[in-house]
Amino acid sequence: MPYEDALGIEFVDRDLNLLQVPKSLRSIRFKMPSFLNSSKVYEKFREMQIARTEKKLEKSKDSFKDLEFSPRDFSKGMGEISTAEKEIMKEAKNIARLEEKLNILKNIPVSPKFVSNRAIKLKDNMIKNARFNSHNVYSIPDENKGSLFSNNTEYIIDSPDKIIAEETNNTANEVKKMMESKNIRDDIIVVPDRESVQKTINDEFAKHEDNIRNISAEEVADVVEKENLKGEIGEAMENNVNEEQIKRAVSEAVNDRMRVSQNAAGSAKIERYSEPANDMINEDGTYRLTRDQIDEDFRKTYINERPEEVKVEKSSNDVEFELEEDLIGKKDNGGAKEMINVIPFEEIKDESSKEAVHFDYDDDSIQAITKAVDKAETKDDIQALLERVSALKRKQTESKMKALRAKEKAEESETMKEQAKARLEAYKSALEEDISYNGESAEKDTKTAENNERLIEAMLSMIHPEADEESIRTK
Amino acid sequence: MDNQEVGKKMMSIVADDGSIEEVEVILAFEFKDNKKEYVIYTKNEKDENGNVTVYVSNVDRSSGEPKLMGVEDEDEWNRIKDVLRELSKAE
Repeated sequence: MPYEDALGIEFVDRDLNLLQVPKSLRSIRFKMPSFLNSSKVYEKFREMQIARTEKKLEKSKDSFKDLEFSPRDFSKGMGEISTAEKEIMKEAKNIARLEEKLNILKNIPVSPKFVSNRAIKLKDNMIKNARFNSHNVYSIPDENKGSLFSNNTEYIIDSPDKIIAEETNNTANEVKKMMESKNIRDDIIVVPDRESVQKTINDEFAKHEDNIRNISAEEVADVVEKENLKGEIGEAMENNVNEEQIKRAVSEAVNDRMRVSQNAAGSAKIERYSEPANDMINEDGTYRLTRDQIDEDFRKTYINERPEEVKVEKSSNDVEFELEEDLIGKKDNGGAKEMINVIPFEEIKDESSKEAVHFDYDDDSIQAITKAVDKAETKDDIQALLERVSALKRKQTESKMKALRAKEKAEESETMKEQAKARLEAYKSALEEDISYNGESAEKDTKTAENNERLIEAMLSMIHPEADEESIRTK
Repeated sequence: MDNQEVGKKMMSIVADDGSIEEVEVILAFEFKDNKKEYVIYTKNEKDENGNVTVYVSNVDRSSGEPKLMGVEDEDEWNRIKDVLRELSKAE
């Protein structure tokens, strides 16, 4: 093929069937004449390949039919394969490969084990039909030569339509199998021993006891806004427990974590299994976790983890490419147009910042720390955790103090309001009485004088609401 | 059956949603220098101008089982387009 050399390519026609389509798939648009030209090139290649392969196959079959072996070639030691068998198998495999290639070129689907199965069948046929002839060698009599290659359709799968139907039916099973295989891990998970973790905890407690009180509220917000879980420490915090109680809670949570880890480590490695995920608890109550599950769990709760940067792959590179001759070479001035669908990173960032806005210093957030304790494994984890716990406690205390002060102020304000209201009522009532008696009989003058006094009192109290009754009277 | 005709190669591919689709292979080739294999196939989709869309995938056989992969590298993509350009001019 002249194209192949000029373009530095080789046409191939290997088995490609039932393959998963990739997510980022490039495409090109051909004008019909260009499309047909390209298609024809490959068709020619395939026709040529078929003719060449058929020729080769015939040649191989002829040489296979004419194989001869002396009785000595069939002798073998214990567990060994005779020379004759080796030779027959080699030739049979060669034929099987060519037959497979031919089937692929002719678009006839073949089983993945076609070559091995077909080769064994050919070898068995050969041994079964071989006869000891007058030349003192084993060979295939002429009358049997035709039957040597029969049944070559035995390992050919049915028509493509049937295959597709079968594969569709099997899709559910395949998916299940794939899901199961995801759980199969041989990786050994190394977990720290109990003593070393306990020592680390004690060391870290001692080392960071003083630092605990110096964590800023901003740091707390930074940590807690990434978490939304609940746990025992949060409850302890809610009850205003002391530092010792927090330590104990942390320690217990870490111990619990270690118990699970030790059970996992005790089995030396994660067991190979294929049960569904909801069937993972052993009879003794221990868990069997795959590395994926542990990693996923850890990722979700690991307190120091920064938000992941999500890289969005090109979902589709739909390239419109006119392959007509008049457009070839014009890609710089509009001959080629690319449309790339990429979600801008800013959009994702916006989403995550929205999450952050929803955060509040509620008890749930505080309790999130406790869950993180379950996952704490390293010295750094414990240190970070202690710092967060202390800062959270401090923050909560500050908030409570603020709330208390606000409440007191509100109560004080309420009292003043009530006093003013009472005085206003008194003023109003005195005024009404004064009006009703004004201009009436002289016998009522005494009452008017009393009312006037009450009126003055009320007015004075309005001017000096904070003053008591006595001080008003004195004035 | 047309699909079974010698010269026309069909293959079945599995889409994201698990559905199986039969497509026509236009070309399959590998670069001689880096031995990277590609398959160009079509679902015979035509736009309003009658242009046919073809899809390009890298075939990865490194794990034994063939896998279709996207073409991520721009140089690689340009090389493929050059090949297609040349073949489209074939008589």
